[in-house]
Amino acid sequence: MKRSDVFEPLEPPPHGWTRMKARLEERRRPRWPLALAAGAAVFLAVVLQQPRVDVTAELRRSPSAGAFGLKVSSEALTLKDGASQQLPSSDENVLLYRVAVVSPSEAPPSE
Amino acid sequence: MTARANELEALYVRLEKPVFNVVYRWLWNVEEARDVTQEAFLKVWQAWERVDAATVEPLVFRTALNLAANRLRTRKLWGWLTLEPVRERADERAAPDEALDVERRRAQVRRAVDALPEKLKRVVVLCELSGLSYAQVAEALEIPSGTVGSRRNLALAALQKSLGPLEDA
Repeated sequence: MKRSDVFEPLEPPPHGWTRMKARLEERRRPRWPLALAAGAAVFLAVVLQQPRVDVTAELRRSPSAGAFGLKVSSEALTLKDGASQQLPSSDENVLLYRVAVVSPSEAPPSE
Repeated sequence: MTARANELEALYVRLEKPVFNVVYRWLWNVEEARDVTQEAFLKVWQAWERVDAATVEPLVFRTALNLAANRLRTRKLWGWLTLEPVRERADERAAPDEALDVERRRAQVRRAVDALPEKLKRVVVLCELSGLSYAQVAEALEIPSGTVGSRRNLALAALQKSLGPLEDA
């Protein structure tokens, strides 16, 4: 056998430099716009999945609703085993009550 | 095109064939050998500012050999992990109508080269296919020049044991 049979030189596939140039161009292209777009897409997907909250309704139910300028329902105050007496308030958005814990038999009529 | 790009093109055109041939003797697959060849040039290009022009050719071959060896290890590991039997890859160069004895001889050569210890294989493949001088082969493999000669002789002796006498040219 000849040594050239063992180490027979082969021709590489054609257009090697063209392909090489394309790989160099691809590496030179900045990748941050793609990364930024991908990150924004993920963020939006997560945010849009969150259940929507009716903020106004939540605030209205909150004890601090008056501080936000929301009128409090007159039925908001409920008591169990207690009595309440409404007191005068200079601010129509603020309701004042005097409350006490009493047994049901002792509870005065609410005013 | 910039002067820098021209330098890389000149280097690529000059070395593509020998690098491809060296890498092919590791992977025995034309597409993979082409990919690894280009990866080697890309790596050298990334470090271009720090590359010494006098030693760029050995550097390209060293990089290519390391990439080829890594690719081969990954292929073997993947075969082990997936429990796929390691099949001997057919020589893609064989034309359907090629004589059976030619195909058998190529398979025999391939088995003999693959059976060489890694250190001997690197030396003999570079010596026979890269076009590098002994000094450049030593530079590429980071071994003494004298070691190149002795390892080449050992490799050729092992190949002759497998394949019979090897005539020059």
